[in-house]
Amino acid sequence: MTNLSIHPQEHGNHEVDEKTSFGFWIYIMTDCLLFATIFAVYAVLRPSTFGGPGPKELFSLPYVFIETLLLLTSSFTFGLAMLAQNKGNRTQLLLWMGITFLLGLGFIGFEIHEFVNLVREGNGPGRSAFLSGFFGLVGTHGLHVTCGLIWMMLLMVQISKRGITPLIARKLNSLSLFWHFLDIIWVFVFTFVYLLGAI
Amino acid sequence: MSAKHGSVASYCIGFFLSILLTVIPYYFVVHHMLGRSSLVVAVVMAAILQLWIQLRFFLHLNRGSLISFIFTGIIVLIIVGGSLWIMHDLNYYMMEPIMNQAHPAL
Repeated sequence: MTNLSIHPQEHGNHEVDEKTSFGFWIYIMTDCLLFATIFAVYAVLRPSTFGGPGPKELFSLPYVFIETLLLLTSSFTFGLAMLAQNKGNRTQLLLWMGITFLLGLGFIGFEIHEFVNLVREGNGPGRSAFLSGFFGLVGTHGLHVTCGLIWMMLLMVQISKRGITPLIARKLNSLSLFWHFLDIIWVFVFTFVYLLGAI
Repeated sequence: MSAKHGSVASYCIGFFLSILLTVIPYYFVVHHMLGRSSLVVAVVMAAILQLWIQLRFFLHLNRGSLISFIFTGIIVLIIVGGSLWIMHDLNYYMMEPIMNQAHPAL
């Protein structure tokens, strides 16, 4: 503790780290509530297909399965990036972040491709209440992942320019919470929208 | 709350278990194993286990964040469960008379 008052910037200020981490966690919890309401909307609207196709006809499970594996793996590689950051290994950190970024980008690519196909076949968000709920839920998750990717890219630029400073370590910690959280949300989307939709 | 608590081994275990808990329900659904209702229960159980795995191996919650997480979980259950309950009841009360009018014989 005495070290903190003498060199507040040099030693990663543990108290600030904890507070930032907790504050960001509270944000994530509010985000969780946002997703809960959108999940509730989807669950309520799911039977209202307005005579159009339902989840069983529209979704391809193998396609979404690969998408899920991409995101799960990206969560894992981000964990490895955090371990590299703890060791202070900048090259390894950038390598794992780069892999995580590409996996996340692949996930978004899969999702955009799915959306474009649905709209092209005339099953856009305007087709039925069920599809509005689907696009709202999956789209909100995709938007979060896109924001996470932009954040990750900017952090990679900062790391390659400035190295691993305490401030960057704090940002990385927040991003890792965000990324793992999005993974958890996707597990629920995969389960409740796709798997239960196919039963 | 941070990766300081993790190790390569713990991340690998978490990754392996999360993949396993994705492959198993996927396999069950694709091959139509189990009956309809038990399949739903199995898939939902896998998702809840998966949530626990992710929290345990990737997020490393400490005491403060765990309490806020449990609180959020309760609110989520109220929002989602409550919405479904209310809308189901509304459907039940609103749709019945209309259906009865359309099909007086029923």
